[in-house]
Amino acid sequence: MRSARWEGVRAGAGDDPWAGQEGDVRDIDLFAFFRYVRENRVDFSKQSVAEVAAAVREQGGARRS
Amino acid sequence: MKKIWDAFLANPYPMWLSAIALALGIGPSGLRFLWTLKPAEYDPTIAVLTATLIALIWTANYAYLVVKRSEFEFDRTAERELISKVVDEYVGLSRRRYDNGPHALATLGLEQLGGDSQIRDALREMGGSAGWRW
Repeated sequence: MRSARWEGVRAGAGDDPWAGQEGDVRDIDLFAFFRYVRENRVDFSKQSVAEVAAAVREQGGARRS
Repeated sequence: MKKIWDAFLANPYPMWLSAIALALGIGPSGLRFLWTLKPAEYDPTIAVLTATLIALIWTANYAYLVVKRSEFEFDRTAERELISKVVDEYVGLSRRRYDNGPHALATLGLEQLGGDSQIRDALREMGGSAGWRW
């Protein structure tokens, strides 16, 4: 099990496209997610992936299994 | 032969047409032949025409499926190219330290890829290209 710090270091190195936040979008339809990001001009330096994921989920953007 | 049968299972409508052709053509003349068991009274014209019709339907169906398959493969290739382009763009940004993480993802226009599974494929490749897996 990797520590949060290790995840942070790896994310900082640019290896992980989600910067350790992939758990927040596991149940999200990523097409809806990135459409929301574009339409709302989301800035991830101000908003977290979890916040955006919650907004997308509210709009019915949950992933169909 | 298996290929043709698979083609039929994939697109059953020509099978119905063939069944109707069979019922209208070979069916009555064949039954009459079996009933009378007199080859001299058997008129093969309808049977030959029906067999030809069935062969044409099978061929047309097979050709239709070949075309559909090549269209699908063409679409898949275009999709793969688009995914590679987006992945290269991300990896380039990340390696040059211009941007990375979700902030960089937001600039790529990933919704162009058309669907959740395509975007997940791209993200997997982005992670894979940089030595990370999820």
